[in-house]
Amino acid sequence: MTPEQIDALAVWTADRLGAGTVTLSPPSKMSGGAIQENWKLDAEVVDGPHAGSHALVLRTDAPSGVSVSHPRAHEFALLRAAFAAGATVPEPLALDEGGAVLGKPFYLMRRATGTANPRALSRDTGLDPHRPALTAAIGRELARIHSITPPRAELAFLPQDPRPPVERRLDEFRAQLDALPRAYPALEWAIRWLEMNAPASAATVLGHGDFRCGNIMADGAEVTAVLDWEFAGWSDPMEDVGWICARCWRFGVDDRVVGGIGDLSDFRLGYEAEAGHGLDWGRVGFWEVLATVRWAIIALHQGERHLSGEEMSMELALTGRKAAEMEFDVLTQIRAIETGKMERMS
Amino acid sequence: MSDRPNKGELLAAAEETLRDEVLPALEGSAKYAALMVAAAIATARREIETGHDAARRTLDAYAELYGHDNVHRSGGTADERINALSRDLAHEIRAGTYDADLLGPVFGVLETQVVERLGLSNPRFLTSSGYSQPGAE
Repeated sequence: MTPEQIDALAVWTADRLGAGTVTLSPPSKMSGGAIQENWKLDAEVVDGPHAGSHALVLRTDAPSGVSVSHPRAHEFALLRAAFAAGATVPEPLALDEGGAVLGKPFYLMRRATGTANPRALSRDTGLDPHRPALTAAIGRELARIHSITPPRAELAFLPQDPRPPVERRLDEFRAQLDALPRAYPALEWAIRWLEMNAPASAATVLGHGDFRCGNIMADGAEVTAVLDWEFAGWSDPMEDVGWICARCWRFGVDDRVVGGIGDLSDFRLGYEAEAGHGLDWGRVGFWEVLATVRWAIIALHQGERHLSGEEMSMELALTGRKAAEMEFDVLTQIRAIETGKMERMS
Repeated sequence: MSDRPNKGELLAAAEETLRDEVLPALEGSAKYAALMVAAAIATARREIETGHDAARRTLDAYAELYGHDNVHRSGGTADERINALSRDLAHEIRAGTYDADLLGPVFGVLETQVVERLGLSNPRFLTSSGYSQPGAE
């Protein structure tokens, strides 16, 4: 960011926060984010309701940001809805939708403390005494997010679809597979199984869409922020549960079902205490399969981005080959579920 | 045309040098990048060494389902035939051809094809079920 942009940003921030003056530290770019950029900055606010020091993040589009994810204004609206629902998200403070200040839309939010590093959250033995409480806290967070239900005028940009969430997802999966140059019969097979075994739909809620280790910041037993709202949408509450529990998101710690962090029983306690009701926990396996298929297809599309020359990248190339791992898991999981059914019948 | 050391031998040497001499000297994102390069070289080396056998075993599995003549007499390279067979099988599965017996003979083909692909990209997954790191950011 140029000094002129930082000055303009300070004036704009002062105006938005109803402050006399705002002094900003030079923003520094945070790591990660191929589609979005996050900049770390501190603000000294003089006068007005926000007077004092604030640790902030400025989130904007990356130069090459082309994607199906929500534009910044929608993300800001989602954060506001989640914050109002009591979810632990970075408080969204101000949005420049028009791009007058930096030449592209951005918003400011508070900067959370803690770590989102999956390796730390799944492997750190120092965290072990806190795991049951942290896992319950993650369950509570998800219940708070799921307390947001349609219709919501401020979230009118979220697609409304009359189809049941599973049917909609499976249609989406097939369209995504059809867009690839090769066929993946194991994924087709899993999609068919999902179609034939779909549970009855629960009431539609706001799903986070990428609720997993890596997007949840924690400090000891506490969740400090739920991040990355770009895939949020109306869905079945179990879809988020399946995503965080799928083996492909346990980061190698398979016996801790909830994202490699903790046990489902703790997660369930937290969720139910907050929601005041349970979910169809007996069907987590179904939703794990759906999550694993979803990640396999995302991985194939990431590999395709490399192959098409759209974005040459060693990581994208390897991710494309990673799909076979999810395909193997899906075959194994479905066989285990079906074998279990047959054993119960006999 | 091929001279010695050939492509597989050169990749094996590159992989070994990278792992033994380059990686220990690296840290942080450079180390991560080098690990990814090592994984990519290893996959390419395995494709050269055993890719042909993997393709044959995959075609044999398709022959179990579709009959030997239908699979082995069709034209094209092994990869082209596998791609065409995969496409046919995917269409049939989507059309419901195997609904009555999803875990029947069709399962064997799917399993073989995925196992053979994993044998090239991440053979450890088959023994330890451990997901590879890249992508699991």
